[in-house]
Amino acid sequence: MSEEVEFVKDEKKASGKFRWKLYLGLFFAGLLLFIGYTSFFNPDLMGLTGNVVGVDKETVIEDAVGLNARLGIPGSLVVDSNSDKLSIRVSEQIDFLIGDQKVSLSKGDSIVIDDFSGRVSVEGKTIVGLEGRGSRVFIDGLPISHKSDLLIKLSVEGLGYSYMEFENVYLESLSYITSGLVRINEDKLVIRLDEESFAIDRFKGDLTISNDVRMDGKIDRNDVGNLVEDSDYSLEEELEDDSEDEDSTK
Amino acid sequence: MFKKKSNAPKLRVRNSRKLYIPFYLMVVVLFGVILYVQYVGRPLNNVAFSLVLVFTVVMLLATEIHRLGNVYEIHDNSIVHSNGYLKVRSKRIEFGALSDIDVEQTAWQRVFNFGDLILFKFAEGPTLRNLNRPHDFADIIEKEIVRTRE
Repeated sequence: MSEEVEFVKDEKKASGKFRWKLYLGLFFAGLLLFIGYTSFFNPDLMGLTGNVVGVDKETVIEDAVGLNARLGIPGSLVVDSNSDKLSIRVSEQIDFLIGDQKVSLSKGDSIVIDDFSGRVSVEGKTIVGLEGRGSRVFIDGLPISHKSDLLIKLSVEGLGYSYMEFENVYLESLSYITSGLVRINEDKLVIRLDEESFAIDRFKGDLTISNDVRMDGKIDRNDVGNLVEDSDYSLEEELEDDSEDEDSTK
Repeated sequence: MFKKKSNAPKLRVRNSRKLYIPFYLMVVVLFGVILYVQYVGRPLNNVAFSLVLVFTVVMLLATEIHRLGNVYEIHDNSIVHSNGYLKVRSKRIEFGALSDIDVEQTAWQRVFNFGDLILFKFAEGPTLRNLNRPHDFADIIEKEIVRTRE
């Protein structure tokens, strides 16, 4: 009588190897989906979004106070950040590179860029360099068509402007000597600058440059002390003025 | 006076790095996606970027460590397969005991010219896995077998 022998294949090792490959594949696919989702659909997920090239820095000012300022135009200003909307009124004819097409702008034309992200270098009433991207571009209110859904690349040099406005822009720092009026926390503190230093480290809000610089937004509370220190003379002068007024009324 | 070690191998090889091409491709794809995200001007999540860096480092380390686990050495009279990291098991196969050599390559291995060598000692014997240019390696072993028989 012959004995039957049954061979049972040892599949334990093979299934273990398959399992870690499956886990690795799933992790890889998950990572790809995570990058895609956080970059294209929900950049604010977990509030952890940043930009590796340093454009989209941490823009939340936790301990913020309101700032409203009217100041002189700085000799040079560099804005390297994101803005909900950038509006420019052109003061001289120039070619503006929008995507792959060169658009000729004349004096008085307006250009509006939605979701601008990039770098704008300003010297007086000239934009010496603008490099960035935007989701939509309008020239005199008319949208510029773009083939793909990608952000539109923008570039221009030596653009004279009469008006420029950044809506909801974040400035890492701004410092220059100027004259003007700075109102903090709804006029609770008013600082008058007369060729004095205006220095803030973090600002978020609207920035308009035309005949003067107007800022309307929020700054870090810690910056208020620095602003006051830089403008001690003006404050003292105002206090003296106030006391003189009080004396004369008595 | 130092003498040359008598047991020094004539040839010493490890698994081919071509074995890890799928893992290297994963890293390349991830960095490609990051570059694309930067190119189109989209924000990149810091956590995602950190995870990609960690994945890359772990992947490169893991493949190199895996490679260290297998060494094939051709000595004067034998071929030695050492396997393991801390606890190493060395298997010595005399050339005289070998009857046949088979080269086995999957389609993927044929594309990248690496494969397995199955050594026969009148029955199927040990397998040397994922060697670069397996046919050349088989030729070397064959020459050694002929030499030892002479």
